[in-house]
Amino acid sequence: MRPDRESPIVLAAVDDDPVAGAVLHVATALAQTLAATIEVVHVGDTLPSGLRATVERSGHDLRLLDGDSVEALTSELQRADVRLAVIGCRGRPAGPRPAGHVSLAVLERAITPVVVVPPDTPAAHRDLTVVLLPLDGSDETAAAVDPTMRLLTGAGLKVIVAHVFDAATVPAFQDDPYHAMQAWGHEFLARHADTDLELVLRSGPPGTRLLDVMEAEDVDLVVLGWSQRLAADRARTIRELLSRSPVPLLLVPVEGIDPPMSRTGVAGSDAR
Amino acid sequence: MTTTGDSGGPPRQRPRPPGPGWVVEVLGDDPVRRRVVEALLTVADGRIGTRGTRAEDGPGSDPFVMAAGVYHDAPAGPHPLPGPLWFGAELATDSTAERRWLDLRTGVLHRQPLEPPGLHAQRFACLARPGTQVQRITASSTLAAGDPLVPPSALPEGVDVRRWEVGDVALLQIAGGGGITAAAATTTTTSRQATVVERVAVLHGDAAEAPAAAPVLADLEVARHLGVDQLLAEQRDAWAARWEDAHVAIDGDPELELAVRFGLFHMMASVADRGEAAVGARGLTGPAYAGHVFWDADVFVLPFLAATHPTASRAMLEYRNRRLGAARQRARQEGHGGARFPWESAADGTEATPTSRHSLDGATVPIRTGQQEVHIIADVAWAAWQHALWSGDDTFLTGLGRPLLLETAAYWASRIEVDPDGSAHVRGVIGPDEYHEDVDDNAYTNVMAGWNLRHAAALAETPGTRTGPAGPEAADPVLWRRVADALVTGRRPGRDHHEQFAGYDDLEPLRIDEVATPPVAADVLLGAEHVQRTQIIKQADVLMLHHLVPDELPAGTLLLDLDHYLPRTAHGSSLSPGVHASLLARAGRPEEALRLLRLAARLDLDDVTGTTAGGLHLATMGSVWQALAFGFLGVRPHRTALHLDPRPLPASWRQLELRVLFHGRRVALRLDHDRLDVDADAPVPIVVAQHGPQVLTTPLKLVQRRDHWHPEVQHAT
Repeated sequence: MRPDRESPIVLAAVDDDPVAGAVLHVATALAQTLAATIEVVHVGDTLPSGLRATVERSGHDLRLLDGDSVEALTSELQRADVRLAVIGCRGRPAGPRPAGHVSLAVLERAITPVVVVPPDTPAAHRDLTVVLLPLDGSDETAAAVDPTMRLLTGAGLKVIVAHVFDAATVPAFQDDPYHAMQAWGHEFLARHADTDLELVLRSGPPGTRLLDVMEAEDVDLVVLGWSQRLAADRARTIRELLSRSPVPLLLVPVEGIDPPMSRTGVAGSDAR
Repeated sequence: MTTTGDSGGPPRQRPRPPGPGWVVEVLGDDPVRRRVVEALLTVADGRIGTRGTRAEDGPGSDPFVMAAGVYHDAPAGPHPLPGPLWFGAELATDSTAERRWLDLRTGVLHRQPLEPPGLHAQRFACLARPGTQVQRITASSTLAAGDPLVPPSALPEGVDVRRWEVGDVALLQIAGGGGITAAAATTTTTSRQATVVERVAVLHGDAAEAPAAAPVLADLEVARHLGVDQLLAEQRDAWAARWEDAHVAIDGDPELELAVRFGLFHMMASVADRGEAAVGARGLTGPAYAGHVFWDADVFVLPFLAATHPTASRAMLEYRNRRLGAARQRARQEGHGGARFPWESAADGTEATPTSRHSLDGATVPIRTGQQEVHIIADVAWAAWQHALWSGDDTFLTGLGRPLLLETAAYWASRIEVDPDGSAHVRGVIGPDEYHEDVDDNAYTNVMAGWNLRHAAALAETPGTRTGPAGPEAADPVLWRRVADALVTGRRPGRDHHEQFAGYDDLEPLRIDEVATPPVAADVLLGAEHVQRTQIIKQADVLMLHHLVPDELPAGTLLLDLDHYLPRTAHGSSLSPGVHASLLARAGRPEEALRLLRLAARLDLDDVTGTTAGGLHLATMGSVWQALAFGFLGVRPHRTALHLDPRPLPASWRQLELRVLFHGRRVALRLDHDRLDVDADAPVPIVVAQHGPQVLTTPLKLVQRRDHWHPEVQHAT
């Protein structure tokens, strides 16, 4: 996240969709957590009556944006005072795109973290308490999500770190399932997050396992670093979560993210 | 204490790193590898270990000072008690532009900048005076002594700290279960050129309580009186003596040579050579594995020490001997006789293995190794025998070592089930391959049990029994031999390999190359339940028998078992590559052996496991030495002679040199592609494989002709 200058802004983008109410609720919760101000925007020259009522119920003012939806929203996200954006995830998997085309286009272009709110999220009805932070073990992802993680922990939220081993990231050795995982997990947190946080380890298809953890830990929000590339052969986990997550996803752009680290993990040795 | 000197003399000579074969060097400061480097650069004296954390380090580092065998009672079980941090100082320096190096020849950790030096720091743990720690920092920039003794930042619950001074000496005591008492004194000298801060600290640890301060203060007074330069001279002499007996050189492979020496250094540094030596899986380099003592110590670390410094291997066996009471009690509680050592051992010798863990699918699953991995009992007996063979100490087998052989045999005799058909079985166990639990007749367990029984039977018939306070079970050599001979060993009609356990051959015949390229934690990749249904194994199991007790198996079965199990081995344990390197060397496959040997030797230097930050893998280091000694050189101690069976070296090696102590005599072995020289400081009886039972005597020169070794000069007895 960019450093704040004046009061940071949480930008909530709504349209005439049932998810609008959830978007506003999640944006409000995040703004409170981050000590930020909410701005609600809608792209269009008129405000549909249903949406007007939803916005009025939220108690927030709304600003209309004109022009192309993707261009308008992307431009707003480039403002220096916008800390993050909250958008709705229109639709569910019925084709190759797991979310609405506007949402996806905004996600791919945003330089600011964006929260994607699913339409049926229980988060619309409760406080933000537990955050899941999946980490793939890359330094780039850890660095990108670190400011967000510190903001959330600083605000008193419970942050649970998760890592899912798959064929590309399975360790070369596990001498003892108990002691080795304790040692591995401690070092993983030291390198990529914070050793005071809880770590959940799983093995298997990352998307599926993360969904299991969300349910088991009663998660309210998931924070993910990603490459912003949704081509068919990339971001499989992101696409799966966009289509199936029951809770909002906070997607943080990561520059230069590589494929998951090799099994040996360490990029060379400086001990000679 | 601070003094201001104005001698105007030149700065102390800044040492240059010695030859590359003896130095592990780290440049700069990578925050990601910071904790790994701290483990790699640990200095230790067999009693106290101090990780290589910088004197001024802060967030991101993981400083740890530990005392061997000293634990506190954590909720998950005994855990190493963190000791006082004695090495702190206040200095301003650019850690990204500096060099640190661990001189393996002297055990001194150095630090200085890359550019014209304004700093030189030295730190060492006095091998000649275990417990005494020394640090000298010379700097032309900002340097102050800082607090001489600092409690660990995250003090475990239930652990108390007490601080006080006696004159200019600071004391700090940490207690909770066990205890560590430290005393430290600092001298600061300032001249025009530099400030010099010298700190001498003494730490004592005790498994049961906080040690008294008076002996700590007395040791500190002695050390202060000697001074840092004298302590450094002693340190160099002490390590030089150790390396005289543990010398290894690989001409043609300097990188591997350094890695091997690195492992030998840390094994020597982590094991005391007096009193008792509790050797945790990570030694004194970090708290991972909770400092618990596994078969890692008995089977992988002890043989190297028995062959180079038997007072240390004796101390390791003293640790086991002092816990016979707990082992007897456990055996009785389980309805057996004799002594039943725990799978994971800590302070009191009771079972310290955790009982459950979280699986990678979120479930809570039981940990069965503490109940079922009983081969540890025979492993302890085997370790005792190794010490006896290498040291030639006859009093050991009539004294300290005797109950370790006899009472373990008594356990097996009571545990083994004899079926109506007369066959004998050990049921419901876990072998070295921990992917398969609750199996019957694990070959490794059974053959080692049989070995244990036969050797105990022979020992029981040796005059001069000495019993302990409780007295051992009545030895029954006749029964023991009969049961040992009846044990199922995995040999089955029509099969050319040993079956790892009953039913193993009927499992899904999966090979490891069908799922991944080893090494791989196959239980993580496939799931524990799935891998248990397949023939994929974690590490050497049947093959461990060829490694430890080759004479117990029929001749010619090594190649058959190797060809059967190697394709099924995931090497998911760091104990596996070194053992396989040894066996591949025995099998005359040196290039394959070399590949696995390199992996094992550089396991921690390259942080292959991702866990080196928590401490170094001592057992892997031991397996590397065993690959050189047992594998390529084929050197094995027997009661009255040293047996040699050299094997082909990798093409890239010009010569392999190794020294061992056999019956107190230093033996130097130098092997190249067609010649083996054996020298000793006194005549040593030698038996050469393929040369018949004739006992030869050093000095000895062997040459290879038609794949056989022949003495060039014979000194027949």
